[in-house]
Amino acid sequence: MLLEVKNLKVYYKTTRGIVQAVDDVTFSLKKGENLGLVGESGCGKTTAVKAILRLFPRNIAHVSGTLEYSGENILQMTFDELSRIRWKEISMIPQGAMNALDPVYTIEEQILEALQTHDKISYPEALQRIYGLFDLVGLEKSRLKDYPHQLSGGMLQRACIAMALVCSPKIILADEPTTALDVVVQDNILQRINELHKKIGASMVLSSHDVSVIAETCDWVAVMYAGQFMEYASSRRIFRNPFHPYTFGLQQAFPNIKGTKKKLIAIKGYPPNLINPNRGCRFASRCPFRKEACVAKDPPLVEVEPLHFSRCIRSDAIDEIRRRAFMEETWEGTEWS
Amino acid sequence: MGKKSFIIKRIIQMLITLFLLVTIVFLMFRLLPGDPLAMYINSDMPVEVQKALMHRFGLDKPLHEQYVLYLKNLLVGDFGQSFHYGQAVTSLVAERFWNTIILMGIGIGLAYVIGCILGVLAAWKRGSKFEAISIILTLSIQSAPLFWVGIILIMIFGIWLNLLPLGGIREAGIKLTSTFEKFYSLDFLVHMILPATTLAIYYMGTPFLIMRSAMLEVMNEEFIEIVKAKGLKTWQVTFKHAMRNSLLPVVTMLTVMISFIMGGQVMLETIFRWPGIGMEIVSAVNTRDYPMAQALFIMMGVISLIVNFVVDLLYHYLDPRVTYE
Amino acid sequence: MKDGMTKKLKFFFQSQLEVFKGDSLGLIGAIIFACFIMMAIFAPLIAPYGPEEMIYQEGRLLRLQSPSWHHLFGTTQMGQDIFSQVIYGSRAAVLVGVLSAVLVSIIGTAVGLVSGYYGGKTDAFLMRVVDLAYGIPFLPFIIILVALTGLTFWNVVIGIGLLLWRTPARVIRAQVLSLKNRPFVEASRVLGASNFRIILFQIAPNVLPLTFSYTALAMGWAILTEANLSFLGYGDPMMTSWGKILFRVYIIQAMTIAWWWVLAPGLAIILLVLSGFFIGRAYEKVTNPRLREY
Repeated sequence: MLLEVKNLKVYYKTTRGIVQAVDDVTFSLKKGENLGLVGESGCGKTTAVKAILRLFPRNIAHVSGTLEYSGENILQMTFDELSRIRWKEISMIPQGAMNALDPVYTIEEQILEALQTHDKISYPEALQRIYGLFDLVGLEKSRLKDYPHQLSGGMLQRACIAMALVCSPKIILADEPTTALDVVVQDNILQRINELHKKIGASMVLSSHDVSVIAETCDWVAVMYAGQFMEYASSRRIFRNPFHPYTFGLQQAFPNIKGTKKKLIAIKGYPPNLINPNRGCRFASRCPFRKEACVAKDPPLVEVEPLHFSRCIRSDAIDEIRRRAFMEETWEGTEWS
Repeated sequence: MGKKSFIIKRIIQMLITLFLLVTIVFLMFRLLPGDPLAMYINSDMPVEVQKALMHRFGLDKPLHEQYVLYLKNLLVGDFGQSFHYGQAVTSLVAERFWNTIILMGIGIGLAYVIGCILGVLAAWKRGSKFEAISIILTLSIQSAPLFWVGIILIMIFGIWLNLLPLGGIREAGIKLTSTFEKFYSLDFLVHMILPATTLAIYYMGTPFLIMRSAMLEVMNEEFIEIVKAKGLKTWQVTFKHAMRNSLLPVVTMLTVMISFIMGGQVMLETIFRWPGIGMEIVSAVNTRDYPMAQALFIMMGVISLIVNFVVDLLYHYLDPRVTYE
Repeated sequence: MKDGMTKKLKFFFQSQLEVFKGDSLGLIGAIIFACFIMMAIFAPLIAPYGPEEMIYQEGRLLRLQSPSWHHLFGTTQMGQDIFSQVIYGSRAAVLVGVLSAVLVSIIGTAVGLVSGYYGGKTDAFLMRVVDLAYGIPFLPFIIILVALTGLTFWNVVIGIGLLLWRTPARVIRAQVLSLKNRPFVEASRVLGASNFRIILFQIAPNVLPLTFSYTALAMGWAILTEANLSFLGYGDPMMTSWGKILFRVYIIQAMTIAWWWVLAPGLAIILLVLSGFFIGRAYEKVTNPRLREY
């Protein structure tokens, strides 16, 4: 098992109280597999992804649980041990490439920095490796001597991908890799990510609010809402046989780049307050299928099928839910009074 | 636009400003109430000498002709004769110039280096007592006149502890062979400690405050997180990336500060009896030695302009996003 | 109409109070400043002696007494009470400080508004003037100015006003540049408001916190300049000023013995200038909210 996360909790403090950004998240990743985290903005997926590299904001309040990489708990490591793992074993493709690189150093200097921090490698050798990666991502070598502001968004994203690969890591994290790009470039980048994944054999943890992006690239999918996993299964199962109402809602709300035209249905309401979340299912206030029991107790993550988990106590009524979920009227007027 | 044409453009701008500065000095000394003839002529001089000087500087001619003559003289470096010293102004200014530049350079250099490092630390220890105390301390020091800070240091280290000399640039009675020889002696160093320290303490507040606020902004940027994710050590993140990005506003401040720094030199050199252009300009004004005063003032303006020019050139190296437009 | 004006004034004063509520240093600064104003106004009532009054005890001049209950800050070489001198000195400080500050901020704001709003050739020209102003060394300029035109405090105020407007001008211009393309200004333009109206009613009110900030800062700079000038002997001979007190102790090199003579006026300068800096920072935070976290 490459990555094993158990009961991860990440809270941080704000002027209004403690935000439970990630609340008891558990998953695992095998070598060569991809995991996708899907959810709305603010659901905690970015915090969860960054936690894998132990990147926490200044106002961190609480971290608990275990985060094991090849058996070692990242959360308990010394800073030196962590520094050795960062980028070399686990690297990251940032969300907004436009701001992800230091504006005062050239692209070459920054990629070299990533390499030379971890490997004792000579400059000519390093350059060769970087050239190879640039070919892989489709960037001209001349771009290396440029500064970040001289590259377009798409080029920067590709440079960041090259930088993430330079140490040949085992896991690559991608936090909303396509969000900051226009649609045409998005497709391009997605293709490249898939190719690279096959060529290099690294595992990936992707986060996105765009369901179709996750569907295209990941073997395993976790649907996140309000800091928790609502549903967790293989990509095939989750999109063919979803069990959680939220998953249905997400699928209805997104256009598919390749799919046929269909009417988009929005989920009414707003994500809940993560400061002192209410008891019971966190999605209940926006769920058209809620019952009294849903808000009485916190619903646990249950295995509804082999290797398919859902945090919905109404999974026995799944056929009826499935039927009604595709109808527009179901999603009207679901706001909690 | 290209580097070369940018440099040429800036040099031309500098020359224009210099020209305007020189003109203002001309007008200042002639149009303001006060005896215009006293500009170059001392009533103690014999009449023939007076008449000769008046003719040489065209003081018997109308204003616009005087102006042309003035500019001509400036171009050949003729600033006239000092009343007080009875020598050509140019050579007198030259020696004092170096005394000032070395003291100023070292003092301000220290101020900037220490100020920057403290600013980085203050930003790093956000919200701590260290930050609060250092902010209040630097503001308080800058709220006092520079000369007062100097006097306090003289009182503590020169008088009570009797560790350092009270002023001057060297002990009296030492013979020198060249202008620059004096800078290589230990004696000079010892005499420079108090005034340089005064400068450093007084001026480090500004780079400190600016570095701190620039760092606070930079540390929230996304690329800092990526640099951390790359596995760099904390000090590398702080100095190689955060501080490097904060340098531009700190260095830019120098262009604003240089005008005040020159004024500060005047006060500093006066209380430490440091024979530089600061102390000299006060004595020149006191003794109504206008040729000296004029030349020293222009010299100070030139230093300001050169500092501005150098900072402009550095812009592009500090932040590659700044282009030569 | 009048009702609208009183409402606006009320709102204006309330919002000024808001500025200080959030900033404890700013509040301290405002209080200290108010104290000094009181000191300046009521000087004859507060000071136990006249500023130049020579005090005798048992027929002998009370020279160089260290601080005591009778003379809180000690006495000078000429038997003068330093505490009284410091109190009377606040008059020069407050006068020069406030007058210069107002002059500097009026000129600076006006130039910044015009330069920023109209842009083009006007802007280019005005910014070259600012560059020239920055190229002129400030203190030497004032020294020569005062030496040539006479040692009065008015000349000092004018001298300060001639150069120090350069700093607020640049900063306010930058703010106007960012404001003039904002939607609410665009809306006014579309509705047909004249440039003058827009500058006066839309842009100026938003630039006001910055103006106040620099007014407070300029007061500090002006007081320091006056102290520097007086120390060099270029002070107004009619006025007692803190710089002049320091001039006197330095001239006779009495600081070797009379530490109180040096400390008292220095601390007074620090307090008043610091109050200006604190108030200036409080107003600056209004413009730049990110500074508010501290």
